[in-house]
Amino acid sequence: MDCVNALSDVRAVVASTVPVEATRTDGSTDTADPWVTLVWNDPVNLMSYVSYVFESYFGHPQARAHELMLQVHRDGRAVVSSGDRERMEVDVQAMHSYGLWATLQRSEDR
Amino acid sequence: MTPFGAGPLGYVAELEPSERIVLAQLAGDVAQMLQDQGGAGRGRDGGPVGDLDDADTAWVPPGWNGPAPDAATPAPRDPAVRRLLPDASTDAGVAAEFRRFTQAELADEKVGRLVLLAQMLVDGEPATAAPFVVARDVAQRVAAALTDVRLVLAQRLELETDEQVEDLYDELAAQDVPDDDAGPRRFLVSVFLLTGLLQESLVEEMLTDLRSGGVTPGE
Repeated sequence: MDCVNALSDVRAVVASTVPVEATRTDGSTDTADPWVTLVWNDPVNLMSYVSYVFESYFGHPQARAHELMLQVHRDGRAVVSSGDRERMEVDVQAMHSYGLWATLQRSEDR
Repeated sequence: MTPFGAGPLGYVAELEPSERIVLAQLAGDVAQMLQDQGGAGRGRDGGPVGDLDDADTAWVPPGWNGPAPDAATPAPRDPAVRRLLPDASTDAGVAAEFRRFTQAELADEKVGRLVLLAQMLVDGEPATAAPFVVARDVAQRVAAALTDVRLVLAQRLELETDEQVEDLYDELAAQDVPDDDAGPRRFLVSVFLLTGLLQESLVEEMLTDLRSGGVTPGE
């Protein structure tokens, strides 16, 4: 199992995502949205996998997904969606399904 | 092991028989942990999940078959399982409600993917190094199953920082084995790195397809 060298560029990040419609996909949040979904960094998830989740689930362009992924990796977390609580619960469940750690919270608590 | 590349039938890696057995057993172990502690297979919407003696079961009328209205869904006690089914909020009430309505379903989904991966690995029981083909329509589930296996391995290896993960390469490369305790850890480290390389190469190919044609593997 000579995976040492090949894995040298592996990083760990965790990402989150959101469902397609009705969810903001530009990463911005509106103060009118009462809840947000946060994705938290972890040392296990690969940067490529987090990017894949952001691109395939949220439908982000490659550059935006990369930016969000780096934000999670660098800052420890990133807001990936905002909306009503039910919507955020859907997003958080999707992230947990992917193996990314996400939480929802009231927007004003950030 | 040869990492994944793209082929006409899907994404193709090459695995030794021993690698298949180890990965299949691990996937099966993680699935079992989820069934034991995550409430997989026990329904959703408030049904008692997890350890029954921990459930705060509410009174219901005799003969009631519906969901127990106030039953709690305990968080898994094993930190590795808890990482697969994490708290959805820092607010305990929000987290508990989320668990009650989603944990069994999430655990079921994860178990299904892990069992699929295990079956694919041992399919045909190849006696020599052989191609491991992941069809595009199941690739996303396989990648997610690999993620869950890696998350459990990382918890067992007590990996909590990026630096600790990066140090694994040096740890495995080190030739001196200080004591007997290093044996099991070196094994887990090698498997963690193996699954990482498999997942990395698989996801890179999935990303290439996603970006080129709008194909979402597994969707």
